[in-house]
Amino acid sequence: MDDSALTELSWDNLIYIADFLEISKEHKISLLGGEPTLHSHFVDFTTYLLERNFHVNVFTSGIMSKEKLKDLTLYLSKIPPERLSFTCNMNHPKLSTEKEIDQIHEFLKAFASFTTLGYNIYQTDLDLEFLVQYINKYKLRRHIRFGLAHPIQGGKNTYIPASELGIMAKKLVAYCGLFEQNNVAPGFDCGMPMCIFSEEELGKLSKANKGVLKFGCGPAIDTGPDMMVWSCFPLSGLHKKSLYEFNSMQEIHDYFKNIHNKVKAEIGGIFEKCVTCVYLTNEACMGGCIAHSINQLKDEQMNRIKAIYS
Amino acid sequence: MKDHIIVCPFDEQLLAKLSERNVVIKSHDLNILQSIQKHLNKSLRLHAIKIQTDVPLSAISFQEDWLKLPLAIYSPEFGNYRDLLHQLNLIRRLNIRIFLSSEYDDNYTGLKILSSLNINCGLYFNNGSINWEAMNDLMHYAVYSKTKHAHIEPFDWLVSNYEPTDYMDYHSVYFNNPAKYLHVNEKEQIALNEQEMLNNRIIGDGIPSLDRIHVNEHYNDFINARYDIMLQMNECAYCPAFRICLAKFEHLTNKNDTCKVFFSDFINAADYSFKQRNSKRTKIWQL
Repeated sequence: MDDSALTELSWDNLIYIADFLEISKEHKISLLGGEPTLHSHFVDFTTYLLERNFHVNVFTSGIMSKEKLKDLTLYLSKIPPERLSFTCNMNHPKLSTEKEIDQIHEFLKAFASFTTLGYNIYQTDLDLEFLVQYINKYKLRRHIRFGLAHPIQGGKNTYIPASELGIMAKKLVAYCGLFEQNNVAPGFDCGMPMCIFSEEELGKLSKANKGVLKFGCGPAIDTGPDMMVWSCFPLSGLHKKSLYEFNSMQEIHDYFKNIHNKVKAEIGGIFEKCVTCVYLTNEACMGGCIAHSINQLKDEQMNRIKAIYS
Repeated sequence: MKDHIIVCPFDEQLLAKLSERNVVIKSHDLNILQSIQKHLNKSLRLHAIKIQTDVPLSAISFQEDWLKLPLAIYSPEFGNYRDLLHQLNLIRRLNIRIFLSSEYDDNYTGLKILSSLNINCGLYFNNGSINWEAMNDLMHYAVYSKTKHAHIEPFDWLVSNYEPTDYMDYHSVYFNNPAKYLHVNEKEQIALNEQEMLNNRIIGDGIPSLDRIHVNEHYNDFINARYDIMLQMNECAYCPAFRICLAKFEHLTNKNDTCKVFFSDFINAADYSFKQRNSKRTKIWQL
């Protein structure tokens, strides 16, 4: 238990978070990083949370040493998959080294029934066939979690500008046939605006997702090893607060939702037309990622409401 | 009077003589549990078995056979969580309190882990140093945490038994409060607590003398001695938390940064809990 408080979540903080979630009647917890399996107590923390009756979802690259995988297999592979799941964030194999690909394959083999593939879209060129191949080859969960890279406030990263999201949407929908043939459901993480898809494309996506499609953007609370909480990864530089300032997850959610609402009232969504869009009004679409919206204001004078900047 | 609980080694002859009394059997050897198991019968009024082992908690091999035994296991350190993992279900089924030493910082976290996993546990003090801040944090967790968790001693004992106008000796948790426990060895010699027995300070001889303990001069001197400190002009006498500490850390030189802070917070916690327990809220009729 020789935790380095600055870089890793400590046992004491983990217990505090678990208690906090329990008080909040939250039964699910996600472990993410960086790469959470690199934490020196990863297996201990995961098994502890499972002992506390949490459902644990781990976001991983699947890239890990043989020893680490052996460790995970020994302690986690016998857990019922309905209690533990992995979201394996994939890059196209062309972007990975052979060693990394081998390690990912070994991970997928070991935890097939636990694993959903995740794919982060950060450019308009999409080559997604390999995802379906992996799902079939390793008999993974028949779902892909598509995330959209968003501009990180105060940081530099690659993402698709709002004006080019429509191009990406066309390319994504082009894979719907392949997904359908292989019984794979393409689901969206937050920040995808509805209007980048045509009515027909929405129909195809809806069929592939059993009629459930979400175009949300709201607080998805993250907690850091230093016990600071923030609204979501793209907004990790804004409005951070200490977890100790709150009494429940609902309070944290309300706090960040209030900030989201203020920003949305000021700038609507990522497109100008969002302001008058009926789907924004009835919350069928949240107008894309709020970080995108804020990012569009970066070159103007800072004379809008405070919530956007601090 | 047979109201004291007798703390003694596992000695069949001695236990036979103590058949009308509640006993705590103490040992340093976990293997003795097998023998005690065989000795369990109607004439043995077993209050608890205290095992002080040198083995880290995670290295103890807990047994199904122990299910019927009231156990207090004292282990110096928590050890490796992973090694304990496969035993957690069994431990939760046992009638057990696990005590870890105050000497190692990791144990404070270890106790939180155990408590949060619904295993009754506690901190025991030895001659080593105490991390007062970590102990205070653990006390706060034990008393104030709103999540369901198992008891952590001595905090839960003191808070549950606390009376604002009374003196409290949390050494009861360790079978070392002479008002409730007396120690007897194989030679039937009687001592006031474990330390007194180790130091060979014997206050009586023979089992029958237990019945006359309330007129024993040494016994009464010891019981009353704790109040003498109030007559002395020292820090403990002025400490707001004397009632629950009873000058157990009188030897510390820097009390303002150590015991005084902790016990002041502890007595506040006990007061808070007492008020919660006794608040005059309307009790609604039950369905």
